[in-house]
Amino acid sequence: MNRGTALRSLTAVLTGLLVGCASSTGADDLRPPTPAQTSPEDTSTAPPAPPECDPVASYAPTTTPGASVQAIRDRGALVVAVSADTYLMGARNPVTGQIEGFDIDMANYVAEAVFGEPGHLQLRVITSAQRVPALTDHEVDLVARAFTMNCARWEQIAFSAEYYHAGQKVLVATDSSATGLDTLPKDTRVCAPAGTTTIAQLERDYPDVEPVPADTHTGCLALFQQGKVDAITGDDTILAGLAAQDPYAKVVGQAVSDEPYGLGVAADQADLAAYVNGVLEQVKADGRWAASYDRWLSVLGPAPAPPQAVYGR
Amino acid sequence: MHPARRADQLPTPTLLRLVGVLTVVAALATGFFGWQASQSQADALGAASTSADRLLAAQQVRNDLVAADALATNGFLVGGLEPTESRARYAQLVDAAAQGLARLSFPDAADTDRVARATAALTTYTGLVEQARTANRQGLPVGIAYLDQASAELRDRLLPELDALVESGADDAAGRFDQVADAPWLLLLVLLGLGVLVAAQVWDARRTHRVVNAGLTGASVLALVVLSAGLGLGSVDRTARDIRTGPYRATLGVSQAVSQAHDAQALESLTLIKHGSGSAYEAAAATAAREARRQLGQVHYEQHPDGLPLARVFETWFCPDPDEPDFDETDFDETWTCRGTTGDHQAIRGADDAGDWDGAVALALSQDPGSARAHFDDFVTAATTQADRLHAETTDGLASARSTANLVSWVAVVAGLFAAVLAWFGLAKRREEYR
Repeated sequence: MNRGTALRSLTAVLTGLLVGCASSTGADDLRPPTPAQTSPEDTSTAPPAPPECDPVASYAPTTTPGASVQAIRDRGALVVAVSADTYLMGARNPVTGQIEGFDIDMANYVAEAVFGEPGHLQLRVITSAQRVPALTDHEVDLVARAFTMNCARWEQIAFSAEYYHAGQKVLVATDSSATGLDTLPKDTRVCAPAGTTTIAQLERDYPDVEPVPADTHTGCLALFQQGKVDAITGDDTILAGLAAQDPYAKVVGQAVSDEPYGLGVAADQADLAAYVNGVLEQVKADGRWAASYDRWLSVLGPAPAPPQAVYGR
Repeated sequence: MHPARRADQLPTPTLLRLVGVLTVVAALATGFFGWQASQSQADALGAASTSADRLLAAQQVRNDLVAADALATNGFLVGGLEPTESRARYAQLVDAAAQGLARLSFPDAADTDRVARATAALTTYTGLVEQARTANRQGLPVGIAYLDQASAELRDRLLPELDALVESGADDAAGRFDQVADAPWLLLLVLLGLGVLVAAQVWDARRTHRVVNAGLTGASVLALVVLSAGLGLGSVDRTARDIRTGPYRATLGVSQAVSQAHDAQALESLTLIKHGSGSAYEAAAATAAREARRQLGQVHYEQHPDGLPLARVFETWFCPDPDEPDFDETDFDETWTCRGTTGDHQAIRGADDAGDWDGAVALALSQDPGSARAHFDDFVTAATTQADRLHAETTDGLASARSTANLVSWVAVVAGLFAAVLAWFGLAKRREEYR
């Protein structure tokens, strides 16, 4: 070993001695730890106290197209915001790839009336939180997504006349003797989407049951099938979609709340709302409404009379 | 009486015998500590290599699982019937992960528990994926809920256990690399032995008025040989540090990048599957993709020159958009060259965000040359090949350094023994002169 090499080696040894004094960790080699995954969050929040009004009152129906309808015709397509994961109301059929359901039927009826032929409906999938902004920003013409009419929303947008009257019910196993939320046995585990008013309502009005949150109603069904919950509560339309996926589930009882569904329209397009109301009048009268009900919602029982439209705005 | 004076008054032959014993002990100690220093370094190098293998095996299980999850999730975009080859590949990856988990062997009891928990979580995960598939084939949306549960099982329970195992393995490897640097401390004791031999020679020269004692000189030279060979351990340490900051870290970087990239791809599919409700998944996908690209950038800049081409390949799939609200300028360092272009992932998101869900799915599922899938597969193939090569480079480098340390240890043993013999006979010759 020549002098230079010996010196370098000695330096290396001394450096090694010094380095050896400071202990290191695996993080030095791995670099920063893996970022934490964020999980989907429920965006639903409790609505503010609604102003006083008649939530189901809409504009008088018309069959005469106004400026809004003409603009839609010029564009060549009616753009409707829908859900793609609410089975039976608006959900993508995994086999055909098409979005279908009761809400989608209503959108189709309006599109066919506007254009006089099928094939002019353009669907845009949105979350429930995007329903109002989609209209206030004029991103879509209509919202057909289990949209409950209430006075707080009337402050920002307009609605068509009521096309379906939903209500909160409960889903239980077929062998359950419960006949509604109030007859559930003590300590029944009842699932509802996390962060919604339903969980708070369960705690307040039904103290004997045990509320269990899940991400979505479909998440509740998975828990129900796994035996982790005994019941699910929500709008009867949503529960119908769940019951249709599970032969061992049934929806029972009278509705404990009123959820009138309307098609959402931008506040400055009252002419469109009036035109849609004209279409809905025809759909309810000529049996198409009942046909759609039978196709999608018969799990809830025989088709009731369509909701009576209220006008006066 | 003072002990020094008492020793001074001992007869010279007795003193020569005592000093002889002392030099033999010093020479043997020189050999022993030289051997000990190099052996402990060789052992540390071997242990570092084993730890690296172990942590990379855990990382491989993670990679197999996220790749399998990406395939399973993609299957839901296709529709009710998952392509046969996709199912087969999923089964192959899950099988590889299960076997990899079974083979994972960690010395620490807490890590063994982690392996057990990960194994249990894997069983739950695969069960949920099967339930999801069954429902999906029947056209039932509850399949998506099971897929959500499977995703949560994977990301909340299984992957954290594997990440902890990787972290633990990396800590262990880091400790072993530190031990490689610690070993040369023992050379101070070799230096002490050499000092004793030189001091004995000086004492002998004064006492017997002979300038040179051939035996002791030979022993000192051999002790110097041990010390010089020991100094070679410094170069072994330097090599080990080069391996650690070079191919070892690059292996970890590339392997982790592949894992993050697969995760991003699975989350991209989940975003599309969830339709309008997938924004949280997209945020997680972008975070994972940025992390993958950051790891690849680090590989180039600090560890391995081959890293950058890999980063470029990845950029065709994902290029962060500075206009995005969660964009962080610090993530977009000077190594990025895709600024102003659109990666495949962004193109898919762009189509979906503009309301063209079908178009986005078509982009995500296409396997044509130049498609998102083709670019992603190109990246994974290139990265996997490079990670394997870097791992081999790490293992070979550590094995070579270990051979050097082993050689030094045997040189120390032989030189120490000879030095002891020479020292004894060197002083024995003096004792004979007093007979």
